[in-house]
Amino acid sequence: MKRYFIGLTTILFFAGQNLTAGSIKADTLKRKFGFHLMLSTKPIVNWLGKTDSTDHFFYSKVQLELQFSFKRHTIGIGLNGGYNLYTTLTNGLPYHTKRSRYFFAPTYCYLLHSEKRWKYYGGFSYLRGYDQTLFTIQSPIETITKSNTTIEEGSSVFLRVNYRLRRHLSIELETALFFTKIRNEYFEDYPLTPSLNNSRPVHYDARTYAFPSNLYLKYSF
Amino acid sequence: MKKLLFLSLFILALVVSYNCKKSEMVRKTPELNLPATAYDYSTITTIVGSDPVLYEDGSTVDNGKATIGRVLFYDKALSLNNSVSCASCHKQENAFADTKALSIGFEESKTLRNSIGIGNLRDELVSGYFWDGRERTIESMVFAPIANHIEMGFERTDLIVEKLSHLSYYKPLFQKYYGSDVITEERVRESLGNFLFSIVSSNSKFNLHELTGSSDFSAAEVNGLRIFSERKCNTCHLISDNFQTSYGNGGITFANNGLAIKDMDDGISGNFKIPRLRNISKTAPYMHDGSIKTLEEVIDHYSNGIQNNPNLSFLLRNNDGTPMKFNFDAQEKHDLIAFLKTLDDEVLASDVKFSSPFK
Repeated sequence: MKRYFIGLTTILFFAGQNLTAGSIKADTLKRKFGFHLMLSTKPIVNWLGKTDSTDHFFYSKVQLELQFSFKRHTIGIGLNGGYNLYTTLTNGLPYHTKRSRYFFAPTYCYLLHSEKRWKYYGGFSYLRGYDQTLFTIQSPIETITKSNTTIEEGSSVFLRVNYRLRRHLSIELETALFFTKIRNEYFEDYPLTPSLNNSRPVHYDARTYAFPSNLYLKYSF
Repeated sequence: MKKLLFLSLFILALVVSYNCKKSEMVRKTPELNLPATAYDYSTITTIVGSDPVLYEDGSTVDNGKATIGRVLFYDKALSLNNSVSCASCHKQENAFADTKALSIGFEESKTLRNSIGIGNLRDELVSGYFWDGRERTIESMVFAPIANHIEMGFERTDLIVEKLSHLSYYKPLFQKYYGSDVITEERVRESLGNFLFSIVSSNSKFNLHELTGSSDFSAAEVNGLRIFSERKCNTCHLISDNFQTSYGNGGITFANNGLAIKDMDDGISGNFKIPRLRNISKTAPYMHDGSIKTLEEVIDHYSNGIQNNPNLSFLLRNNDGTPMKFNFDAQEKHDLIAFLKTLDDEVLASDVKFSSPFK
């Protein structure tokens, strides 16, 4: 509850600084259409903090969002994905770690208010993420596999505050409430010793509020 | 347009992280290189020319079972991830000890103690196995490292049988030497036990000296033997045969329980097995924690480095309770080391019947 309070108060504080009834400046809607590209600063934050800040802080997994706006309406698609494969040696045996993940989130947001350099949006999103880490240790005797897969699916509602830095460039802070179903499946496979095989599926519903859930750099074409 | 292109490339580089370093291993099932007729393990003796080493019940090592035990000893399949075998920490060329202070387990974690050399296990039938003597039979001792969560990781030892049954080379071996291809936990224990029991050092210069009474000992070696006896090193470090090993606290600062693990008695905490000194120059580093790197440093430790602690052996205390200082001079140290090297058995270190049976 405390997080809700802090997040919403902050958004309202900034909104209050610029709130003028019915004020959407003419230049905001001068161009009816617009294309925007948003890039998450999460990797930089993680690098600075030397941690993967996913727990109630920068929870959104969107790395890149492409947007199309029409007047006050904006639709977008948030994306993330990656594939890593690296090999280490355990007592001389190759130990492969392969991680594959994707995330996409179609979004809709509505321009609530605009004043000077500030804009305020409210919106919602569907989201689906897939993250699998596969470990294999290879030997002449057998190949042992361990896998951890997480699939997250659900929706979110969010508020975004945008501050224009330059003509085309702005930053956008997001706070969001996520409603997701999380399915986590872990298994171990020992071909020569099937009794050691292990599978642990865990399914649960999660409701996560994050402030901020993301911080974007936004480029408007 | 240029801006857009640069921006797209930047984003692409940032979003897509791909790091690939391929190292594919060609799968090739291990192949054995065993003689048609099993090597002779049954006539092993502690001294060349003397009677064979016997179990307590008077039986000798079975050649066939020891052959299976040799395969098991060198087979990495006995570790959970197939990365280490018994022989990974008990190297033949090092008198079945490890050159690392603390050995490396199946997931590259360090073990708690230095891997003690294997040999002449008959001497430990009563006193127990491992540094703390916690196992009383060879058959129970052989599975302890396999089941250890740091060493080989097979915490459910009953599943070893399941794994071995899936390896093509074991059933023919059990068929040949047990008369049936059924692999059981008891048979695995027995086979490993037979192999380990057969590892006996009997060909050192000192062994020949004991057997014949005469030898080609150098003056330094003779003097080293004299110092070893006169300074009562042999009170704890038995070098003759048919004496059981014992336990003591040698005044090492680091102690991780020792006998207390077995007996849960704080009074003997920090007491560890006093090893036989056979092949001692091959088994560095020394002590239960591998904290002393060379023989010279071991002698320095007893010379003036014994640390006092409540459990320090009374044999290492002066009458007033303070730790003894042997104060060996340089010549004594040199001669002691010369003598200790006469306990090395070069035959054991290279005997093919104790070497890896895998091609």
